Amino acid sequence: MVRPVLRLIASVVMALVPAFAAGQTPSRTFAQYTSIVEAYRGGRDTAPQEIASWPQADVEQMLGPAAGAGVPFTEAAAMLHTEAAVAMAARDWPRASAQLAVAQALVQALPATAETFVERYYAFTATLFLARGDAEAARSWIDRGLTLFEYSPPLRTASGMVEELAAHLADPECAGRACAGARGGSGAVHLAVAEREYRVALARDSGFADARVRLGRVLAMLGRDADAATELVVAAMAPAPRIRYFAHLFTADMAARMGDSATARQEYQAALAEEPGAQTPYLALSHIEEALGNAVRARELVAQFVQRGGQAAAGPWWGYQNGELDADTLRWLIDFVRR
Amino acid sequence: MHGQQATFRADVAGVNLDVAVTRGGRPVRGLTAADFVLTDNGVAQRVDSAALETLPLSVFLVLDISGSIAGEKLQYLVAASRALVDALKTGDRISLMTFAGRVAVPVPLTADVATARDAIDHLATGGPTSLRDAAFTALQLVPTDRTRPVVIVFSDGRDTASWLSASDVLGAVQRAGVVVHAVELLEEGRDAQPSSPFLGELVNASGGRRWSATSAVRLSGLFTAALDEMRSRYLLTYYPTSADREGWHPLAVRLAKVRADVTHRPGYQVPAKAR
Repeated sequence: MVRPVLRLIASVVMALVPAFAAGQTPSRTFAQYTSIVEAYRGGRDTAPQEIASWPQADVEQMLGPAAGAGVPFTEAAAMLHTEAAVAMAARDWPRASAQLAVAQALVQALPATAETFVERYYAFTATLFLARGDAEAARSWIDRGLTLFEYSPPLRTASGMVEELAAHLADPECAGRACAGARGGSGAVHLAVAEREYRVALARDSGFADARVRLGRVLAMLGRDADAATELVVAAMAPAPRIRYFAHLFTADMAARMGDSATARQEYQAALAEEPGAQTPYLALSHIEEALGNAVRARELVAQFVQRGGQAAAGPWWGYQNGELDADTLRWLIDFVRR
Repeated sequence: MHGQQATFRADVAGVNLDVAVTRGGRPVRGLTAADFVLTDNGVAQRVDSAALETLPLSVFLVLDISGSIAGEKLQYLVAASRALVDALKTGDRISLMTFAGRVAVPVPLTADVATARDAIDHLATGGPTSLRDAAFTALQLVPTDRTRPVVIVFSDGRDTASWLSASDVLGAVQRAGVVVHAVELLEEGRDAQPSSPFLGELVNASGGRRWSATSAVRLSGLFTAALDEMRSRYLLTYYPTSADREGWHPLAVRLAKVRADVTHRPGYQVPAKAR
């Protein structure tokens, strides 16, 4: 397996690095490279910045030996480049993309025994592209992963996320509460595919809470409120606060849509308890009060989140709606190579 | 109505209604109460006064700073916002609101224009677009004092991240009685069509106006035009003769003899609690 991978790496090098292709001499040694990778494995958080500062030609010159140097080393090297890519993605995507290509080549060199890492790596990388709004690239990574792990819960869930994003893009005005329960057209088709993907994930792992809460949301968007409620009740008992937050938020949305203001209030408050920094429940609660004629209370609620200022920067809903990097899986992958 | 809007009030004492009268895009001045024909819920009303409103303005400048505004657009947006601040008069106040995913209020309502200028100079872009959530937030922050609140919303694109729906916000604007103007930067090469109907619906529901441009260069002129339009509005006052029932009250205003365009909110809501 290693030899074809080395060819792949060489092609990546030639494609991405004009300097290398022009024959410039790398200024770093393999020993320096392994030193950074080892330091990264040992927990040095600045290692991704160090590798990001290297001329790309130098980095890629090291890849041949790195890819064949053994499983733990290769996984760590892959994550080193991946972290570098994540760090620079917002400001310099071409360079980030180059780092990611290197990481991908390393991951593809891993033996079958590394399947847990590889499965999660593909799922994570898909979310990195989703966060950029590049559903096509995300889909490509997911499909590559699914050829290796057909029923993978994280990959099937990522696949469902791509479909949800496609449904959103099919009708951007249909956001948040806008079209819950009233989806039609191509959006409904994407949501139906998402439902199927989440069900596949849950069939393999019924405790995969991300798939559970997303299934609940998709069912609500398709107007199947009773089925949605069943899933969201289970999701509201998930260990992760973020999952519980979404479960309460989506349950509140359904209640508000049915005119049950009391339940909607209760569920939005429960969502707020899970994510006190989130802005969405404040707005939703304010809207309920405003619509009921409780103008003073509506203004108080808005004033509360405005006063929180920058503390309300974390908006889980925005990430859900538009795609976001899976920080939990990134943390898992980093911990995995540093264990 | 719940709330006490300076620009529009409906109570037992009387109703105030902001009205813009323009011909060829320019304000028509010199009109009197006798020039206006007004119906409330289909019932003709006698307009008691029609004055060019001179109360100070409370301006809520609501700026889209999502990722699509980065670069040159931001530079022009900063310049336009500064031009608007420079056009404020003594007694006027301004609040600066921004939205990407998060809706923020870097400058609460203040007469301190230096603070507003400083905040404008430090605008930074990035993230999705929560236009509807921002509009709703602005409506909840307008003061209930004797100034005239006006919300000026700037955006260049579609809402991608709001939780509230268009109907949620349009319902709120009908109840709020606040004039909302919109300045929209259209994408070049798309036949200059708005990417979303929401801004148009928003200004129509509030009796405001929408200005559009395909180039950020024009933003300064549009921002100050929105402010000037607000200053040249008439405030009509009337005492409803048979329009005190709760619910939606459609309004219609036209000119008796003068040819001009009349812009006003389409109606107002009288909730049961207010009676």
